Amino acid sequence: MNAEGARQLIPLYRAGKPVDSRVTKAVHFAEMHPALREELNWQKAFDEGIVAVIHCIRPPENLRQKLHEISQSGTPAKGVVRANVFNPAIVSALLGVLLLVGFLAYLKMESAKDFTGKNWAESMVALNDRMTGAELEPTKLPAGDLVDNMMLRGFDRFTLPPEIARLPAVGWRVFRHEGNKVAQVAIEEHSLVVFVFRASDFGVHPGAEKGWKVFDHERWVAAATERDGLCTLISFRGDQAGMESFLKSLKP
Amino acid sequence: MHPAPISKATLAEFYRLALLLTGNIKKAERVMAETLRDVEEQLGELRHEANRQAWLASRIRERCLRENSGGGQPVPRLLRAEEADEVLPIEAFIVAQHISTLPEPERSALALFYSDLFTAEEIAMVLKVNVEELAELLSRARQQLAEAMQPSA
Repeated sequence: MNAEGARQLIPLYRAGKPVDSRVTKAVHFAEMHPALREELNWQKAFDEGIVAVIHCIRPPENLRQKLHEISQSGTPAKGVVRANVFNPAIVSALLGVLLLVGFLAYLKMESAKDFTGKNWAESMVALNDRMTGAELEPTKLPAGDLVDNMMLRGFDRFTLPPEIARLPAVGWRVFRHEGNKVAQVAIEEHSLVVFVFRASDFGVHPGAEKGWKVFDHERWVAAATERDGLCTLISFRGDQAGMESFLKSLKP
Repeated sequence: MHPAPISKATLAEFYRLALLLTGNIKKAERVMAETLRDVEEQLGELRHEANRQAWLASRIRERCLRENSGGGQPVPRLLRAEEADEVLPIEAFIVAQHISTLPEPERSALALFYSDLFTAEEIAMVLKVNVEELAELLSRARQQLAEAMQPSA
């Protein structure tokens, strides 16, 4: 066994996982080799951290029963559906409707795309990619009940649109972005990341009265609204259709 | 021949696997439910428990990838909205989200490797690669995950 051979096999090692003799030899070799030992130790620590976190994912207690219920309820009458779907008249009509709906949706999306200060909104969405989760303080409160927490951290008059406020939060923080305070909340529904800031601080004015302006930024989709001088920006990984559907699902 | 029922612990491992591959709790549950329903008969054809698990993992993975190919990036939805007492810790929320958005086959390699069910040989079998290629995939996947989780400077 030489260093190169050991380096190739080390990635197959994880503490507590059965491995074959070649990997065991590679690990023993690495433990005696200064550079490889460092790589091995990093890998061990990394795996240990990730596995510990993954093991926190607990399936629901009644998983078997739940899967059975999903399986039962999700069985469509396949024969009937297929027969209708392949009827040429129905296919033509469906295509026509889809084209029309698509065109209308395109027009709506185009008109809703831009607003004043959109670049600032995009710069906040881009922050999501750089987060590790450690920045956030865990919570189980509804997002709208974080008023005191935000205030104690220096963000006064924190409010959320009512349709977002009732959603349970999992984490929150107040941070400074380009010198101005921003409140951030992670919400369990849709793994939503919410930013709240003074519209005047950044000059962000989505302009949609009580409504939301939806836009994409890299692999994220976001929606912004301004109410009483506060701008709320919500984002998750996905596309505009996903966001539209999420917004429709919110209770006013 | 009917195989022994899948144990609760094994079911939990498959659940985590589906969750890491889809990044979406509803999708994960649907994938699990549909896969178990569809493969029930075939499972009995495999003699060894380890093979049954590897085969089932292949089916779950295939279905997860099909689910993800439905449109753009998968929308992570890792937490259950309707059961507040089952909220995941924020770290699990973020880590699972990062793993679920790694490219394939690195994502599957890592998700299977971090499961307690499979040896490297079994994972290589599921991914249809040899063990040396699996080692490269795992090395790359760890780097990608570490970079994705790196806080900004």
